[in-house]
Amino acid sequence: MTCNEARDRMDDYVDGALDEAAFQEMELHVASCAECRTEERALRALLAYAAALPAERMPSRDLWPGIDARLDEARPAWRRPWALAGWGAGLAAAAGVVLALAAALHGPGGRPSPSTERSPTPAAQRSEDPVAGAEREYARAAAELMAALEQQRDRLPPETLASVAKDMRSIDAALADVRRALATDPANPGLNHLLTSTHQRKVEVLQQVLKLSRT
Amino acid sequence: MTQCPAAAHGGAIPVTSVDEQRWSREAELVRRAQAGDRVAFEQLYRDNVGRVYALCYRMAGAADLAEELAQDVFVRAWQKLGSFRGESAFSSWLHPLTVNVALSERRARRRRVARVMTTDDLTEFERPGPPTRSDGPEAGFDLERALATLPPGARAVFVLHDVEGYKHAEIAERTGVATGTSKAQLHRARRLLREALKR
Repeated sequence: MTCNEARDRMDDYVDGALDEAAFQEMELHVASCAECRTEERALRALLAYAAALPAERMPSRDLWPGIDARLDEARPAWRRPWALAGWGAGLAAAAGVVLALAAALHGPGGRPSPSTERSPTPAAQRSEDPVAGAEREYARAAAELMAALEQQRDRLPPETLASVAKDMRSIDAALADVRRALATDPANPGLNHLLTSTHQRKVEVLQQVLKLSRT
Repeated sequence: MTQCPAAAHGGAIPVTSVDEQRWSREAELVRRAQAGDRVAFEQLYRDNVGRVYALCYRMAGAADLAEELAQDVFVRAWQKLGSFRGESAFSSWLHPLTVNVALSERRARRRRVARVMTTDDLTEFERPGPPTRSDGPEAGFDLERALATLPPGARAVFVLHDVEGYKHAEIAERTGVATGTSKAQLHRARRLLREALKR
């Protein structure tokens, strides 16, 4: 592989979008070429900066008065077409639904081990850690999607549920691997990016299945 | 922290009582706002403006435009609130709406620019702004300021792909370009930002 070819593939390489053979070829080239290795590190550093951007940023002024002034003209095109009674309680009970769905998805005896799901550090320690915060956000999103999916599961064929269970096991195993690696190298930007992208994948799989269940 | 029953059985997505309280409170605010309660909607605005504005700011590259976009997002949210069924967090529902508002504005601006530009030479946009360094000890590089110097298309793709986690296919669908164009824009954005990072 030449350096030009390596640079052409660098984006896909760091994004994990190469097939196994191309990935291995890149690994070998980057390991043996200082210039491309520098290029790769610079790109990963940039992605680490992007991943570390704060989720929130406040505007310099209060935008509410301007919004409030426009709400009269912005007539809602909606009327509440469905009863919301019990919805809040449903959300509060989402935790219970997750149990049922987890059992349904993973099957008896096929449940992932606690080590693949539990975060390795207590909440009190994680509260100040942005990566742990992101993990909690993803876990919350996944829990909400699973709760929504549980309501639709009768509409999904068993083979689809089995496929989802397989995907979930695979993703959870990958998450566990990344967490183990991070435990020894917590500042590694590539690993942190991989952790969030794997969480993202889990959420995407659940979103796709939920969409499928509604078609 | 309390864990959901799944956690107790080893199935384990941790759910804190704080989360449950937050969800219940948000559900109540949405229910009231859907019934026309502006005070409740204002609280939803205050709870979510930080995330909405951050995305608008990164997509727009300018604070004044980002403020306009963020206002548009909440006005649009008010109009569409009836379609929110509580199947996700309110912030998750608001996120694609924010992306759509930011992209719509970009398309409109592109049409305006196309009407007044007399040249196709976009090399001017290839020159990132001056070196941007933060004074903070944690960051020697101010990515948000560097983002603002990017061409709008490249900036939008970078923000959606590398900050928000969208796939190229999703970006292509939302922006109406080919997947290859999205990849090319991302490559361009990353190259320009790396150049800024080297300074």
